[in-house]
Amino acid sequence: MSSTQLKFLLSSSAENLIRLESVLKRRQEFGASPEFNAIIDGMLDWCGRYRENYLQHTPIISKVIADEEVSPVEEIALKTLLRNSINTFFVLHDLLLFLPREKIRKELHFFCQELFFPIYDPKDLSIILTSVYNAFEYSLDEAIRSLDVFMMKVPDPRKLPFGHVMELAIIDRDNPLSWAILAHEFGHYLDQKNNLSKPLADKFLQEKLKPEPNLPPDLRRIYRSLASEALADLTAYYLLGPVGILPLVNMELNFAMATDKPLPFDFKHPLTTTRLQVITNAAKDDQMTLGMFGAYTQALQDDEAAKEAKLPSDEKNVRSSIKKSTTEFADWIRNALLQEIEKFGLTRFSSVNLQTANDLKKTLLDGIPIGSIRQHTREEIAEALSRLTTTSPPSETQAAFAMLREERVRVAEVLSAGWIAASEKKTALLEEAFSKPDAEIFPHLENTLENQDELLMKSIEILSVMERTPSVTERS
Amino acid sequence: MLLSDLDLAKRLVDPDPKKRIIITPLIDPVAQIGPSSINLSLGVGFKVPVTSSVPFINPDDKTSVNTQYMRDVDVPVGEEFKFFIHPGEFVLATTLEYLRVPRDLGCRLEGRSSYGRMGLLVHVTAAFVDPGYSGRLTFELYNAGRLPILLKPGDRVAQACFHNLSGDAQIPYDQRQQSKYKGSLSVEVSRIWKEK
Repeated sequence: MSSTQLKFLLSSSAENLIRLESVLKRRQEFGASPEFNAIIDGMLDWCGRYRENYLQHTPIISKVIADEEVSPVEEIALKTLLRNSINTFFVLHDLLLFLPREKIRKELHFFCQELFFPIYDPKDLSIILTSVYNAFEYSLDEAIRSLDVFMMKVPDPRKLPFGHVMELAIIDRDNPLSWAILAHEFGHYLDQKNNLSKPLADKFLQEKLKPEPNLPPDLRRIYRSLASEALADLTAYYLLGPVGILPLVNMELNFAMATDKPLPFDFKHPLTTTRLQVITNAAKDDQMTLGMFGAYTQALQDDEAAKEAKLPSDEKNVRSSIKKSTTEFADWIRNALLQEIEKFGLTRFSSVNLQTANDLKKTLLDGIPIGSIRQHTREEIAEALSRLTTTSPPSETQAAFAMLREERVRVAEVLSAGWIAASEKKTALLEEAFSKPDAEIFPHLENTLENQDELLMKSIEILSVMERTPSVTERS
Repeated sequence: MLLSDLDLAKRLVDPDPKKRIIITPLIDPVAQIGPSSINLSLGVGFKVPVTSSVPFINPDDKTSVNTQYMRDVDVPVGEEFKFFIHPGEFVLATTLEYLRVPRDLGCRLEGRSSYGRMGLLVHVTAAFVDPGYSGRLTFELYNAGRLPILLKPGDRVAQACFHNLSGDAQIPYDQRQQSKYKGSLSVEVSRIWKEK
């Protein structure tokens, strides 16, 4: 494992731990009822043990950060640390489901209202906080139908058809970057309501695979699932650009920490590297690149390549042929799906938006919220102001002042700027934190993440107020 | 000496980041920039006191100041946001704008006459913003009138004026270890317990 890879995984793992602790501490401080204290305290105690575990590994982590070679034994120690942390994290997070859930943030409502405009209707589509890395979308009707109270059987939303409930992991409540996953789930919602992907999957089977008259039902089911996921990925891409795929990449990397083998093909979802490739191809057609998210995309590709290299050759061949056929299918179906999405009148993310996001990122990294942007450069405005004298007429002065006007940006641009910034400083954050004395490492990480979330949240809040302010102009 | 409108505008685009005033978003500069001040508007969040279960505020106790005394009021989803401040009521809110004050300027938060005439005070006692401060400003809203006042995010309820210092602050707010509200982005309750 390369040091870049290790740094990335350590940073992600520490972030998970910190976010979980923040949720627990908030519950303890603000939402606590005495009957839950023992559970929350117990969970925080577990988090504390993993903090300690990290700190015990500081000498090895410092070596990784300094790009020094680590011995095989040290590498195993780090992998074990990562694996134990992620497993504990999964368990603790899912235990939170036994406690009353928090409500979602008001900023998330606004995010959905703008991003999914004009389709989004909170009366038709609910968002609830749920189990970790199981952001998905399901039908409430089906959940009710399959709920068997007498047999004490609770339906597993993963096995239900898509519908009107979108789920977001509890841990992601305060992390706007992760909200991008809802754009994917929204794609499933559109699909369910309008039957978009199924006919295209059937058409592919008919035209390309030239099947026997009695096509095995499994094959049809698999292709329909793959088409459904492709539609969801492309909806996220349509609305958010390249960022739409990143929560899945991040999720996959977290799962990957727990295993030495590449994650298997589940016959429902294309492999994540395939999905990434499909979005990369779509972005290329639209003059966009995923280069600025290299920290995430490269980490995933490197991780999979390293694990695949260790597979027996027959397994390697099977994976390679799965990748080939699913990529071909996704590329065949891509434009038809994008045309279907286009019919809903949603706002498409373009290369201009990505450029704006890249500009906004600089402001964000300077610690300033990014809900708005000036249309004139500082130099242009300074030049206009320098021409004013005490005898300038008020109209001339006001014209110069008007150049300071800031126009509202789009929520998709805010989110993209956030992802670019996060990608750029992913490993730097770890380096910064571990350069501090032990007692300050986690508080530093905690403050930085909290600030990152708050900045994005406030940017979204600014957008929501500007949207309701009559004097605000939309950027052309 | 207070900065004039033109000087304020020039400071907003100063090529030297250390001398630049940052106020963002500046939604309607022509309306917001007055002869010697810049109007500021109301953000979304409010904190209102909870009096029924708290006998008194103990400034030494973080929990009593931080989590028991004030509660958040959220925006109702899908409805136009309205907040009524009743006579004699005291609530915390923030500016919508993010501010950064350069180290060679001081800043004062002031109410606006039009709101003052309705009885609205935007701060109870803390109007001064230190050189080097960055973040949103917290309003200490108080209705001194006899009727409730309707407030909405985006309402321009206050103004900031800036004045020159005799020199750059030696230790500006952002570099001072004791500063309690550095980079604040939300409605902040008192952190007086940090001094204890």
